[in-house]
Amino acid sequence: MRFTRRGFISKAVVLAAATASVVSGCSSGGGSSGGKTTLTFWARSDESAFVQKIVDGFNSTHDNITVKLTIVPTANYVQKFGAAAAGGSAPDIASIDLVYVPYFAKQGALSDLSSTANGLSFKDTLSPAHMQAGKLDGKQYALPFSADASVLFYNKGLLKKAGLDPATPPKTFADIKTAADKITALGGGNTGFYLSGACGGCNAFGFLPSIWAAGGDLLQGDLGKQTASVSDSAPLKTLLQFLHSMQSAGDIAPSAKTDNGAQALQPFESGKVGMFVSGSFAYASIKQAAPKLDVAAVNLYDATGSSYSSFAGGDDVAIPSGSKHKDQAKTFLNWLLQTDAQTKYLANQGVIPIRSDVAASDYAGTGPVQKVLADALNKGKSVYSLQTNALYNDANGPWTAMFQKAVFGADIDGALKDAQAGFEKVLKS
Amino acid sequence: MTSLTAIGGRGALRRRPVSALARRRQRVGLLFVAPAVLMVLAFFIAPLVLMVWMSLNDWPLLGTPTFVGTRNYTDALHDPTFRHSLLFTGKYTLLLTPILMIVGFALAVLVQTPRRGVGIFRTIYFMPYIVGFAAASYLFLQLFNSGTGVIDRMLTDLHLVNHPVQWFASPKVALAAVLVVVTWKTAGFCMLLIMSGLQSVSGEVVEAAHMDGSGWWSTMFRVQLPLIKQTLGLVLIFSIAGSVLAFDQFYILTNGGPSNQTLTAVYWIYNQGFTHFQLGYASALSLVLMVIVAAISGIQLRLFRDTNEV
Repeated sequence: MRFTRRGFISKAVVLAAATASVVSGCSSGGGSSGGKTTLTFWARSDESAFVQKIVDGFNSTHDNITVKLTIVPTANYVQKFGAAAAGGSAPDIASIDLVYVPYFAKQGALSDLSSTANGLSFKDTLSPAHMQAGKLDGKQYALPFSADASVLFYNKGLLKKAGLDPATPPKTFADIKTAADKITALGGGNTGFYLSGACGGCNAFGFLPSIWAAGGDLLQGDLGKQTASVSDSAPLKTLLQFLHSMQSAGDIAPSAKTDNGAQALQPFESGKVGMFVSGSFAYASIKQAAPKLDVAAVNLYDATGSSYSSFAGGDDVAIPSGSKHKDQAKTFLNWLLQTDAQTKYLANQGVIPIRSDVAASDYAGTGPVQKVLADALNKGKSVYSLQTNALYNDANGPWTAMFQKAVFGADIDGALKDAQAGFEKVLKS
Repeated sequence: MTSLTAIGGRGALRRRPVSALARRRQRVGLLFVAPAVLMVLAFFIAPLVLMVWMSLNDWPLLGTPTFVGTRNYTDALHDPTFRHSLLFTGKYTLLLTPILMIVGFALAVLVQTPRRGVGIFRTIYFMPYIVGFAAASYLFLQLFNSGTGVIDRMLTDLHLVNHPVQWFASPKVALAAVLVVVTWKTAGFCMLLIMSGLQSVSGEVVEAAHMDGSGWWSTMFRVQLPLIKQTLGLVLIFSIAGSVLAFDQFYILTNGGPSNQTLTAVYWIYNQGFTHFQLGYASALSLVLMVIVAAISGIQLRLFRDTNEV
């Protein structure tokens, strides 16, 4: 009798403990309560200088929709967004670097915005590069959001101190090196040039234009069937030799070797760097962080200074296919593309707007740097591939490894050979 | 206790029925372990089976999987980066393990005798273990920063170096920096295990050894440490398994660089799975790594098993 009661009690306790140990999960994402909808919006950290103002502007003028902004570090954006899209926790609106949009559109991660696009009266003024990146099989999966183009920024004060004329900035590789040497010779912690040695994406944005300006390209062929010509690219070798020569002359700070982009702007903003390559997103940030800095810009030329190009980049904005608030998200998109929003929140912050009517009238005229940036965007090209992230952006990928080895090491040919093998491996997979 | 065989020979063992009481006890016992078994099934066995299935497929993060048989495994065999990462992980483990054991042992010896205030030191030495690897790595990323970090400032002010050290610019120095961080973080845990092992050795044994004329060193290394062989084996297993699976500290401190020279096995698996979105290939790599860790742990368990137990 004693045994059966004890047996029963112990069994009951065990069953209770078993049921109590059930774990439950919870999901994230936007929600709606009582007519007010909250939308989640992801943007990359490169846009952090201007994107919060956009969100604040929208929230203050819309009573029943609130947009919640999440800034994601640029280097991790593709991973985070891909994992979220696969796991069903993607945001309601996503600002995606336009080079990655073809991949996500192909995988079905973005919803079809063709009807929204066709309903815009100003559709023809939207940046063609941005629209092209978002188009797949005749349907529009993303719309332009912000435009970025790469140029060479220089510190007019430092150039003048080094005895150079800031009104005629250097264009050829030889001139840039001479200017860098003179600025480094000023001493006092000043260096002539800066680049983020471990940031593949930054260096693709900043240095592919000189290869394009020379008529070269590293990728050939149709989407999904591309081939690489890295080790036999003469403009690329010339570029790496030029950067390496500046590094061995001491024109680039040693900390640049391991900078993965987290320190991309601070050296220039501190006023101790003569020149560095970046774009309009960075310009917006520099204006905020160092408003007294005397900054100017010049286009990115090929080695001989005969023609120039730029990386016409920036972000598209898309509504991931899993969003439960597509209509409200479309309201946000429509608001973003109006002239008011483009002028107030992009052009006035130094970022190139994505409507040519706004860009021409309000942007290029706001300053000399803006004029160079607008011109760069017009002349610019982009990388159009399904494997841009694995090729250029990956911190452990072939482009990043090549840059570190070639610029900060001695074996440029070896670095090019390894990069060719790395590119081929990625393109084949 | 009478031997069952003595009662009726071996046949008696087979024919003797299990009593109702024994059966009920068995059932209750099974119910008690049921929650743990369910958790192991749900959080280990099921994902493992799924991972084996994924490794036999080309399974992109976004998109539909296709069956490819053992192609992922043949690719893994010919993957030079995976091989380099395994070699680097091995080198890292071989360097870290003795450092951890020695530092942990030294700390344990320092705090083993109960004295006034020793509790504070035990806490201080153990506290870094509570900080997660990611948080500790970010902390040291700032401390090792050549421009704004404390460590370079101290070294230059003390004239130990002429200009700030670029801690992550060369693979050897980067590895040394990571070893410093991991030792700082984990030595306290090793100290705790070794200390409790040393305290479990009866004081009489130590006294007897002293009376036989054995000094401190030979008592420690010929009497005490051999007695706590089990504990030392446990510390080794924890430390080695943890080192083979190292990821956080390299991801944050070195980004696997420069030029992928400090890339560990798990870091490469993460890269293949979440940067290249190849979950099938990453699963195959994970399985290979799992077999390696299991083999190493198996060897260790065999070497350190108590030969007195049957």
